[in-house]
Order: sequence, then structure tokens, then C-alpha cells
Amino acid sequence: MNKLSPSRIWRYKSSRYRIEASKCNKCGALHYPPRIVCDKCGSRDLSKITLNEEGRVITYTLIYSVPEGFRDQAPLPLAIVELKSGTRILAPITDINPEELKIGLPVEPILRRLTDDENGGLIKYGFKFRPLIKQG
Amino acid sequence: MKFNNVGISGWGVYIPKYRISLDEIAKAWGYPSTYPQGLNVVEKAVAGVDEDTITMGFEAARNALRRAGVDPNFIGAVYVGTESKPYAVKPSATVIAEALGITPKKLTADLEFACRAASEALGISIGLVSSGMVKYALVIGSDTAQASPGDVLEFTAASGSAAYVIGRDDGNAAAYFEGFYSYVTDTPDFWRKENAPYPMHGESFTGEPAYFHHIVSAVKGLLEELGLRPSDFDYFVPHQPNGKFPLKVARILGFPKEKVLPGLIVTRIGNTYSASALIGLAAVLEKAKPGSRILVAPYGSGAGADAMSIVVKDSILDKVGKAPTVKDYISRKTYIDYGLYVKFYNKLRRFKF
Amino acid sequence: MRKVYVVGVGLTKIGRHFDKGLRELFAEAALKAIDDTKGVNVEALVVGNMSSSSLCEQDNLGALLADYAGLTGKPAFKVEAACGSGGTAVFTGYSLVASGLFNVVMVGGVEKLTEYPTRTVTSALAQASDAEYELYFGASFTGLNALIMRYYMEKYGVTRSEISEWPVLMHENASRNPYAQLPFKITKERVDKSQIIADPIRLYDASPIGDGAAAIILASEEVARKITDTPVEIAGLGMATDKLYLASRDKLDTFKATVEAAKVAYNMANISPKDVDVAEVHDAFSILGLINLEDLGFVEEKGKTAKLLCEGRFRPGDKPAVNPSGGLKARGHPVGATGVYQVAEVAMQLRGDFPGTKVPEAKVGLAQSIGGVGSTIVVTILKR
Repeated sequence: MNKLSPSRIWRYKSSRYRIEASKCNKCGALHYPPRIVCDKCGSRDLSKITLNEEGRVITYTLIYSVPEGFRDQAPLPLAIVELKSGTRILAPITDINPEELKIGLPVEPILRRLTDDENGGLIKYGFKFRPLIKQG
Repeated sequence: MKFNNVGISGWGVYIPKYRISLDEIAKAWGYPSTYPQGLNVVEKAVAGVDEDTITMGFEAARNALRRAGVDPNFIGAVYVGTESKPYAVKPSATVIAEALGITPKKLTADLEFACRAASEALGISIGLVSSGMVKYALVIGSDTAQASPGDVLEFTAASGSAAYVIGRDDGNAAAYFEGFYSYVTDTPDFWRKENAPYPMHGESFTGEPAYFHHIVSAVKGLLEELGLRPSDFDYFVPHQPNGKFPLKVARILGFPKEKVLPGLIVTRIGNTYSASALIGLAAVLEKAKPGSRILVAPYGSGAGADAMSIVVKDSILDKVGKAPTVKDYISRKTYIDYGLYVKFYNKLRRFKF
Repeated sequence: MRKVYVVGVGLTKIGRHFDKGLRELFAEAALKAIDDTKGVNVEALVVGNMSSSSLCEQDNLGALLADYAGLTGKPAFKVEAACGSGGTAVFTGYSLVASGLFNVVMVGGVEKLTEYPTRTVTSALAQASDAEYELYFGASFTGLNALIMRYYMEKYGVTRSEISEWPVLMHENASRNPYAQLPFKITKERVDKSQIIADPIRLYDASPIGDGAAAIILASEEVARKITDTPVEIAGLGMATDKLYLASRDKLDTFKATVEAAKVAYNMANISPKDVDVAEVHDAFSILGLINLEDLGFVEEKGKTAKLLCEGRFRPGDKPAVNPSGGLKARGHPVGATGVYQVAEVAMQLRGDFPGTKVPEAKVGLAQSIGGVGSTIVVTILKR
């Protein structure tokens, strides 16, 4: 099922590695995934913007019945994270024990391997979120 | 080697959160329970299922950039030193650079020289910055070290990453390089052929003719060049394949134990290969007072060692807290058993259909 | 636009039909529908299906199925809107007759899901979501619905046990339905303790994987009056879409597309929610059943549906009676066919000859078909 082509990985690398979103130059709305037409005002005048920000979990699940290529990560924690800018994003959560998952958990973005790759295939990298590292 | 005015603008590390105790490994393979003590290592860091050299290198680099506080677009070179490349052919450095948003106008490559690769990259970067060819260089040492199940190497082969932003020794530099000396020979102590899944090693041959000979030679060479003695240094951070070799080479060279312990991180995270001495250096930078002089001596099988003298400056104090420290990453841990360890390192012969 | 009537229906039992492929399943339903009309001349075929391409390696489905159903040569094509393909096919068939282009159109739906391991089917069904930004990151379709379930439970203080009332009612209704995949009663405890698929969604919250086909025949008023005594009018029809990427929706506890589609349908049929006697809503998961009743206007206060259900509402005898067929949960959900099953079932309720749980004297019925996580929604209103 997971037939991935080099151009598909390459085409969306900015939005998947760096959470590159689009910003409407007319009304200021931020969109992730990046859009071609602003969904708030209909303008086609959009620029790129990187959203490398912390956020909070607003809802989450633990997927036991995983799609192909995700057996190693089951149960896969998946959440909707609300970033500081207000933009919401769907992200797997990593470096976390299932009991630690909760609504309101502060998380930050990092780069990880998204899925199990075939022996000869390309590796799919992308962002995941994880609980903040305690400093001090 | 001669160069001008080069320093460390920022540093960062990354250590995965999973740990497996050496006792657990000894139990799995029927080693005597006293075996781990002989290595002076308690537990080692294990990369999670979604981690590899590239993902760990990215985080260490991001931390280094935070501390450096420089515009990433001025980074003119990105080097990744590793012996566990996710792709045998396709550079890790380009993925990391892309994820940091700093492509395309860069010198970029992955380097291999066993555990010394990133250190070689430091030497190259010093040259690039000194000559003015680049403004800043980003050097990353990152490894998810692998060992054949049941082999003694499995006790220490660990995962981790360190990154350094090298730039001019200016007001922003946290420390400057006083000297850099490399000593390299063709010595086959530890190797992995093209299609072999795990490395081979020469057991005791990895000691005197390899690790000790090269580190001692490199350090002596540096001391002579700079006209310094061990007592001129506050810290000694050699490569750490286990918790015994660093203390022994320190004794041979005349560095007291107290100068080695602050940077001896192998006891808690294992041998992180290309990141080993560099994580040790970061641990020292995070505690050293301005004015301290540090001797760092990475070693890579095959074989070679570098010796570099680094002097800490005032501006280091503000930088420490800008990103998680070695101590922060070491305290972040979750223990796993041998079963999960095998799953994480993909040692099961799985048939993908 | 002319009026359009449902003049015949044909359904197969839903289940794991290892002995029947797409063409056999579809022909069975299509021929039953033709026989139900005592042999009307079908002029065109629209078929709803989601996975013929991803799982059965079959495109060009319209022509293939027309041929196997004895409609060789007729205009025929497939419409796809993920799990809402059926409702979308009804919407399309309606427009072909209403416009005057055809007088008699067959609207079919068929799905073949049981040939492959669950992980393969899971991946195929996840294609209803955003391939590059949801599926790519590991989101399964159930996982996305689980995000909604947890959000709703947290926001409205609804418990696991309260939600379990939904599948219990679905199974109760399906126990009399000869077409249902799971025609047996269950208890709340069984639901509460069933296997977790994507926390908090459990096995008994989710519609089963099954094969099935349904066909209805739509005709103009003139033809309808000639061939049946019980024509059922499609009095209202509405369709709306929404952004696929769930996280970018304004609200996570409602489907804007349901509200929009229903508004158009109610307007066109000149009715309001309280006029509906029977409703077949799209409960791919228990949580959707609850949200649908709120979005369709059957429950005024958001978050209250589970409690109302526990108090005994929406059973046969109530207005509306909800999912007397057993719904997606217990009647089954052969994905692309479901929307057609629903319209057929409502039509049969209004005709008085539905072979399962009956809603006597039903005059106004509603069917709601959802594609993706509320991204394509069709609401159909039928009147006797």
C-alpha cells in the first residue's frame, strides 16, 4: 500500500521537516498544511512561514490498529496540537509513555522517522511532537 | 597546525531517552554478573524506533544553533561524522541542513573515520573559518552504534549526538581553539566490511597499539607544539569506548582522575561513537569557569586521534541555559528490557510482505 | 427541475462474502431492484464505491458493473467520495432524472473489503483523509475519529458507559434485519470491555468490515406513477464538503458540512427536523451517531445526545426513530454502498415493507451519508 515516490517525499519536505505553513498577505490568516487560496478571505496572495513553535495537546488518541508500516510504533500516540500562534496541527507524539498523554500537555516539535521503510526504499522523515525536556 | 582566531560559537547534544542496563544484557547472554563492572559502565542510551543518526543529529544541531545565536544562513559548511549512516549512499548532512532551513549554498558531506569522524570535521572547519572561506561551520557527530547480538561490544554500543558551531573567536564565541593536532596510521583494530551488518574488532589489539598509542601520540604532539604540560589543563576529555580506557590513558599521560571525571559520560550513556568525546566536551563546557583550559582527544579506529586545546571565555555563561544540557538529557530516562531493545534495534529477522 | 421518485430497491445481505466479488455482489442487488419494479427499462447507471481501485485493482467500474447487471452499453460511471460515495451516487442519480436527461436511472453502491488483512484495509480506508498530512504521519481513519470522541467526551462530560448505549440500540434494531451483518443483541458491558482500536474507540463502537451491494431505481413522476403504487419522492437533497485536514477545522465537536447539507435539504423539502419520522444516520463510530443527531437538528443541546439515548429516546415509536436498520454499526458499512442502503431502507419504511424493525406510519424519512471525517456529506429527505 505504501508506494512512495522520491518526488512525493521531496515536494513536501519543507512542510514536513520544518512545519512550513502559508500566511495570507491580505488577512493575515495562517494555514497548515500550506494552501494555494486563503480559506478565510479567498486571496491568492500567500507567503511561506515556518512555524517552529511549542504547543499544547488539545485532543489525542492511541492507535492500536495501525496502518501498514507502523507496527513498530504501536500503540501510536496521535494528537491535535495547538501551536502558540493558534494554528492547529495533527502530529504523532513520541518519547512518551501512554499514561503521560493528557489534554493540555505542553509539547515541542522535533524531526523523526515517520514510518518503517522497506529495505531498499527512501526513509520518510517528518515532524513529531514530544514533551518538553526538563531544563535545570 | 597553524590557524587564526577560531572559536566555538555554540554547542548542543542529544541523548535518546531509553536506557538498558548492562546487567540486563549480561543476563540475556549469560555473561557473569560482574562483567559490566569491569567496563565501568552502568547503562547505555538506546535510540527509539523513530530515531536515527539524522534525527539525533538534527536535535543536537538545533541546540547548538540556539546557543550560537547566529543567523543560520551564515553557516557555510555542514558536516556529519558518523559510522551508522541511515543511507550508505545519500548524505545525512543534507537532510539535517534542509530540516534546519539552511540549504542550498553550503559545503556539505558525511565523513567516516569510525569514532573520530566528527573530530576530523572540526579540524576541517577550523581551516575553513580561519581562511575566511566560511563564516560559520556546523559539525555534527552522531551515531546509533550497533553490535552483533551477544558480542562484548553490545555492552557499550550506544546512541547519541553532539553538534558544534565553529566561527571566529569574537565576542560571541563561548571558547576558542588554542591548538589542533592529528595523528593517523593504518591500524586495523575495528572495522566493518561493506555488506556486514555488524563490526568486527581485535579485542585486546584495540588497546595498546590502537586507542592508547594514537591518543598518547596526538596529545604529546599537541603539548610539544603549544609548549604546554598536563598541569596547564583543567580538564581532559578523551574518547570513551568504556569507563576504564579514559582513566588509564589519563594515568599514562599524567592527568589526575579529577580532571577526567567531569567529562566522563560513558558510565551513564555508553559509547556514543562519533559523539563520545564531543558529548564529554559539552558536559565540561556546561560546568567550566571562564578561563579554563580543556584538552579534548577523540579517537577513531582504523586509526587516528586528535588532540585539541580549548580555552573557555566569559560569554559561555549566558549560553549554557539556552538549550537542554548533557545533564538534562542524561536525567531524562526510561528503562527498557532486552526484548524491547531487540525490537528497537531491528535485530529480529522480520519478513516484510 | 422535475420531481424524482424511488420506484424499486434491491439489497444484498452484508457480510464476508468470500464467494462473491464486486460484479457478483452488484448484479445481485441490481437484479433484485429491477425485479422490485417488475422490469422497468433502466437508462443509465451511477455506482458509488470507494476501494475498487486501491483494493480490487479495478477502475472503469461503471462500465464493468453495467455489463454484469444486464445493462450493457448504457451510460454508466462511478462516483467516489470515500464512505459517502453512496450518498453522492444518490445525489448524482437524482440530478440525472431531475434535469430531464433520463427518465429512469439506477443508483447502485458496492464495496468489497474482505479480501485482505486488516492492516491493508485500514490503509485503504485511511485514504479518505489527507494523504500527505494525515495518513503520511500514521493517522488511521479510526484514529482521527478517536480524536473527536475524546474531545467530545472531555468537553461535555460524557462517559464511556453513556456512549455504549448507542451500539446497544443499533444491535437491538439490527437483530430483526435479514440484511444485517451483525444481527445479534449486545450489552453495555460487552461494549465497554471490547478491544481497543484507537483509544477511546473500542471494537464495539466501530462499524464492521464487510462486503455488500445495494441498488435503487429512480424515475420521473410520469414513469413512477405507471409502474408502482408506492412511489417515494426524493423531496429534499443537500450536499456540502469541508476541509479534509481535521486539525484545521474551526470546531471539532460538530460537522459543519452536515449542518449545511441538512439546511439545504430541509429547505428544499419544506420541512424542519421535528417533521422527520425515521432517520438513517451515518454512525461509522458511536461518537458520530451522537454528533449526527445534534448536527441534523434532532437534539437541541450539544453534548446531550448520549444522555437522551440512555433515557430511552430515538427508539422505534419516537420521532425520529433512529437507524431502525441497525445503522452502520450493526446493519453494516460496505463503505461506498452504505449511502444507497440507507435511502433504500428509508424508502421501504415509507412504503411499509421494510423487513426488519419497522417504523409504522412513517411519512417523512431522512438519510445521511458521510465521506471522510465529515468532509463530504449528503442529506436526502424522502416523503411518501
